[in-house]
Amino acid sequence: MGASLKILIIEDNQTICRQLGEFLAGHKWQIDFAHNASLGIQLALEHIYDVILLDLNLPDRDGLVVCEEIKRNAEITPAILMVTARDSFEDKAVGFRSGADDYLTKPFDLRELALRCEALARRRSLHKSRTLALDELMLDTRAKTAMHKGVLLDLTSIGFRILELLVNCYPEPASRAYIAHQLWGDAPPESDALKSHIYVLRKSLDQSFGKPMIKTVMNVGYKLEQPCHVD
Amino acid sequence: MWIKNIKDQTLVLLISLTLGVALVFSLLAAIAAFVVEDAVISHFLDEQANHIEKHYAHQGNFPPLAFGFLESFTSIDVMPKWAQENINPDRTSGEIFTPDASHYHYRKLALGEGRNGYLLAEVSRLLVVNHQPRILVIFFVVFIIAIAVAVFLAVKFSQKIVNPILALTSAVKHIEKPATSVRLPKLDFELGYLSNAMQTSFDKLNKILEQEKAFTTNVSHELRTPLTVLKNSCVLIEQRGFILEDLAKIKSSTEQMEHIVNVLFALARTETLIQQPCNIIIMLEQAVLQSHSPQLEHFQIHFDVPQDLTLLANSNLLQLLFINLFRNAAEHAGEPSISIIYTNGKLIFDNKSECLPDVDITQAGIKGDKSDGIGQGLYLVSRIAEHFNWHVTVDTSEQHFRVIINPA
Repeated sequence: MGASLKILIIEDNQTICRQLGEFLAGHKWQIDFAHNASLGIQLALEHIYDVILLDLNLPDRDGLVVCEEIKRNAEITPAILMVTARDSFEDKAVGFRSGADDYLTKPFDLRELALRCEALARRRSLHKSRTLALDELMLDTRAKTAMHKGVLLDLTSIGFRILELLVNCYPEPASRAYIAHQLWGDAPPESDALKSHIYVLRKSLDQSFGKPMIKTVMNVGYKLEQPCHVD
Repeated sequence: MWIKNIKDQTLVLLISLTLGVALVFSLLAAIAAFVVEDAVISHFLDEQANHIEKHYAHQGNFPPLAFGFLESFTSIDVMPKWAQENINPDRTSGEIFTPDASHYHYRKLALGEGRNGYLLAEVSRLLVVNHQPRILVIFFVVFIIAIAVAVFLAVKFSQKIVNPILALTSAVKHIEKPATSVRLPKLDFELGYLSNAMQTSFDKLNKILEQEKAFTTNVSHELRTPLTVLKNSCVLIEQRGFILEDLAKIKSSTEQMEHIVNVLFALARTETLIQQPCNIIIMLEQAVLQSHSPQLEHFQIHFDVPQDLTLLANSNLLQLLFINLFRNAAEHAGEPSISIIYTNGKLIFDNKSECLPDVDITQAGIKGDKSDGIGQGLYLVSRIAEHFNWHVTVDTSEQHFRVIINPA
């Protein structure tokens, strides 16, 4: 997988933390660490992570509670991979019921861990059609093309990805942080880059639809208007 | 066999007993009826024979007989042929059974001068069996009703007897199922004692099983963590080559595993049951030396323990207990010092600590905020103390961390 993942490791054992960090950083992934539950929850709720590696035996709170809290409160729900020494079936059942997306028992193989992280990140694209349709707006996610009433829209690569995110979120708005994370991960190029790309995208869409299609939602982000209402 | 449970068995036994007793008493009643009937007839004939004999002695003839079923004969020769054939001349009385419904009793009459007459009575009309079928019907109906009542009572009695046992069995069956918290029923008398005793045993067993499960799980955790470090080290060494830091990690992990394995084997060995008086000060000094903790080398260790203090314990396990406590202090103490004090019959390990847990860290899986392990160290201490029937408590007041061992 070419994309860079953003991983949060919530693990109190410093040695294991360092080893995980060293190995996963070798994949050019962005790694954050939390050595206790409180910091883990705080980071998970403030940032967008592709995968959270969660140890269950944390000093200040049980990892299961941490998992439930993140799943319940995170704006963009991350995939959670429980990495723990609790190996019984009952432990795994409780883990999955608490919201874990995957479960790995110690001792694990670092290479397997990395593969599981990639697989978890890929799950987001599961059950998604190659073609996204919103009334007369059609997006081909493989060809990276968009059409309105059969007419090809003139979009940049990033413009297409923003439109894809807006269609996926429709009718809800997509937050700026989410769009930025999806486009550039943890390192957006500059503060106005997103605005510029939205401006370009708006121009292309408005020209084709004849009316403003992207609505700015104050302090949140951007939202796509329903195409047929515009027409 | 169709009997498959104690309820059926008890029911069958009670019904059998009831029927048996009823039949025996019915038989006795029938026998008594026959005996009484026979005695009455015999007594009646004796009276009649006596009357005839007296009359004959005075009058020289037989008196007229009051009942039609009586006949008197002056000698056996004048009797009907069938009667002559069935009468035993040597006996003074007897019965003659005939193929038809008639039945005879006879009495020999002493007529004087060696002559004997006979009184013959056809008594079939007097026999209940032959001539009172209504009584037999009533007897039979009452017998059936009595049997039905007896069976009904047998069912009720069997329920009364067996229901407590069934309730007990049902509760035990439920308890055997996993994840159930059924309590055994409160019963009376000996079954109550049995139920209480079983409940106590179940509770003890469950507690022990829970403890064993928790212990096994946590020891498994404790072994898996250093194993993970070792495995990760191997992958990283393969990937980027060996660095000196790897050696420290491998060394620390193997020592951690070695120590846990030592404690587990010590707890499992039968010789750990052998206890002997152990000199505490010597054991403490040896434990410090065997702790192999780099941090402990810079510790100030203060002993306030009588030189001649001895406690009854297994020396290997006691050594491991002390090593655990020293390692714990080395890892978590706020200052590099620890005091071991013996006061009021208690052995206290006292050190200053910055992060004092507000939970019982002698329990499995519980650890302080800055603990790197999984909280197994003091749980192992608690486990070893339990082996000696000692009591371990933790006091975290006044920014001190005190492990108090009470050997009493």
